[in-house]
Amino acid sequence: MFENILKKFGNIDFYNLALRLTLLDLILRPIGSWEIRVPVLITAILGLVIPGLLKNPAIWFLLTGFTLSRVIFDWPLSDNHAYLLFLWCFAIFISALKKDKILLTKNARLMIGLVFVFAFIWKAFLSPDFLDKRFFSVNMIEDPRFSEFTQVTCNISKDDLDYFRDYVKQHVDGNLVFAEVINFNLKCINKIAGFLTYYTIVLELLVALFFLIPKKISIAKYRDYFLILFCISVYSVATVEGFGWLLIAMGISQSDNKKLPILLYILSFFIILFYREVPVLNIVLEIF
Amino acid sequence: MKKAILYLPTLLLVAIAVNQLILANFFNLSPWLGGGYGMFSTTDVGSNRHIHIYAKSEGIIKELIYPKELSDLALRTKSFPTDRNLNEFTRTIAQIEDDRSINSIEVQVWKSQYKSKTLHPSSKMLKSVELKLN
Repeated sequence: MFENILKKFGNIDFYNLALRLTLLDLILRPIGSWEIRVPVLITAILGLVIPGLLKNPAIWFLLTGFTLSRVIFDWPLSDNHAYLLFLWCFAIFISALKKDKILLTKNARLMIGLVFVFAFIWKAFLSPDFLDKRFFSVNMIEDPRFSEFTQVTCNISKDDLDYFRDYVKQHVDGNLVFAEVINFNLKCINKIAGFLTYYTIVLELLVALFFLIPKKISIAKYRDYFLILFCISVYSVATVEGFGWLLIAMGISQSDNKKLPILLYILSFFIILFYREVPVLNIVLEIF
Repeated sequence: MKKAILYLPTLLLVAIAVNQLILANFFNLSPWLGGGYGMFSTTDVGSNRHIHIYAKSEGIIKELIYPKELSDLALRTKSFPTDRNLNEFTRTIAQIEDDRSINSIEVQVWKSQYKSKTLHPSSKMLKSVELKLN
């Protein structure tokens, strides 16, 4: 039965699928202030719904313009997703204009590899507080997106977590010369932070390497699995689903129409949607 | 050249990321911003930085709180505390503070740091600007 399912995925046009998932990302995770959001949504919906518009360069020219406007008007507050989204729409526009699917494939593979190279450089060399686990330790306490994860993995109550959060968020300057010290046990948080630190950096390095080594090297064919693993695991905790979906759309476009990776990419898209819509960790907290 | 244009999105990705590396390492741009893929690598998020505003009169220093309407400008200033951004923020505060006894306004941008095992917080001033009013 699995073989039959896989056979059907062999007939999917990976180029069309990548474009559709990009438009779906724009619709499910609208971007920008309303002046950008409205035209982006209209353009994305038209591209998805009206036959013949999906590969029309005009649609992607408009989306490139809107996403670029967002980066410019929001400067310097746009996050990585905003830049990558603009560059991806631009890459699709060029490939649609030239009617060249392989061009998009090549741009996608290079862009994914380079994104992860820069992410690795920041974590491994430029950030003073990543490799010693400080980033994830602080984030597990301070970032509300990690709140349920921290409560479940370290068996900390919400009240205790709020107390720890007030501790790390002290502004120790001005009238307050020394931080108010409280006693709490960081052992569990440090252990989990250690795991997250090394897991993330090793996986990002693997994605970068496997996407940038020449395709003629045989192990390059496994690159999709590392990206899929990254998307499924990281976005279960760091709920930045727009970025995850964008990476999946880019991944599909360079997957060389391999059936199993395409099936896994599509599943990953919906797993991330599941993460967004079903508060699994909240449910666990309520039950236990 | 023609081939380079076809790969312009990839080339732009590299250019933007290198630009971000420079701005973050030499001009205090928050590493989470600027398109360099520094998100989730450091605790130095723009929103984790904070601003102190001091109004200085003869023998008196008073700390001010910026109004809610300036939240967006404050976030931009904290995230990228260049001379230009700080001066713009300071001038805006000066226009709001209608007090002729104030001689100058100083704006400071600070970032939070944490000790390795205890996460004990401390702060480090990134940049400050003082605008003389009289």
